[in-house]
Amino acid sequence: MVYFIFSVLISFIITVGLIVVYLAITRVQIADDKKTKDAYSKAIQMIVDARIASLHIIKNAHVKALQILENSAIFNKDLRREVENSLEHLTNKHMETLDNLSRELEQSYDRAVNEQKDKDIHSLESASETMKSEILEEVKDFKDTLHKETLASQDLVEQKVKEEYEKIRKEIEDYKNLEIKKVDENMYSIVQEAVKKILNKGIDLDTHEQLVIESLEEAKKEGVFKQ
Amino acid sequence: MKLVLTAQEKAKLMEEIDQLSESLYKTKDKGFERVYDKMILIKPLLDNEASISPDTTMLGHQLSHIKEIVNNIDPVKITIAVVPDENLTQKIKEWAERNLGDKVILDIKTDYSILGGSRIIYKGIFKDYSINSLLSSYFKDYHNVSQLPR
Repeated sequence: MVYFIFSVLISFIITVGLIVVYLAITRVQIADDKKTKDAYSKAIQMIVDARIASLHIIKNAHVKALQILENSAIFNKDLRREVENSLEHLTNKHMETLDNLSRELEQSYDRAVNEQKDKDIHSLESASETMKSEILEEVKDFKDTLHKETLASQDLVEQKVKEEYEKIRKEIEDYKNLEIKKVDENMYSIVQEAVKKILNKGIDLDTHEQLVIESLEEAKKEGVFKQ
Repeated sequence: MKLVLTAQEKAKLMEEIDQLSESLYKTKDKGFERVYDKMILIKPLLDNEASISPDTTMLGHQLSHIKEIVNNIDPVKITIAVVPDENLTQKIKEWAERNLGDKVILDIKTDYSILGGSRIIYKGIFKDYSINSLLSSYFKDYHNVSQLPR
């Protein structure tokens, strides 16, 4: 009878402890999603530890109960078998409870992991979108800056080219004017010399004769001979 | 009396007149008859005279008169760009006779630099009808290349 009460008490304590652990884990899960994974790992470890501890306690209780029973004067073989059966039944039931609890915990953990995974994926997607926007914005800014810089450079180059062009144009114009001035200065003598050379060789005697007679006619018209 | 002569002819004529004048007072080979036959320019002038005086004194006056006439003719000095050949000289003389009368002395000179046409000096008046002068006038009106007519 003492053994039975003792076993029930032990089972009750273990069960309460497991429930407390489960509630603590659940609270931790609700309180901090980031610590969920660690909490579940700890919870599973605690369940495993509790299981090992409970098995150890039951085993000890069993041993102690057997010792007590063996020492008891009223203990007989039938009672012993009954106690052993009850103990075995209790152990099996307890194991079953622990298995159920463990399964439930694993399922809860899986759910939490899946939810976290979904959240992570969503966060990742969101972060990806944000990064994409930021990168696009950066690229746009860079592009705008580059465009502005390019335009500025282009303007600068155009300005330089224009200045150089004006400078060269002025040099050419000056050179041209100088050469024209030289030609102007020498043109008269050059052309006259050219014409002289051409005419000296090119005018035949008949033309000379005609020119002389025409000049005499001209002189007559002008009254050179009316004196 | 037609006296359209070049300056060379005038000189030759003067020489002939002088020789003939001297011959009036000489005989034989240097006498008038012999010398007169050798004359070229004076001969036509005297032959054309209606009466060549057989009188030596009168003949002397005639020659002096011709000489005076020739010397009193103001020469037309003409500078041309070629050495005139006989044909050109003849044409100028014909023009002169047609336009200036039968007493003209043409002093024709050559200056290649005038290129063509002529320069004429008559009684101190100078006229330049040369091609060189035309060129100078032409270019004088233009101060630079850009003003030249295209």
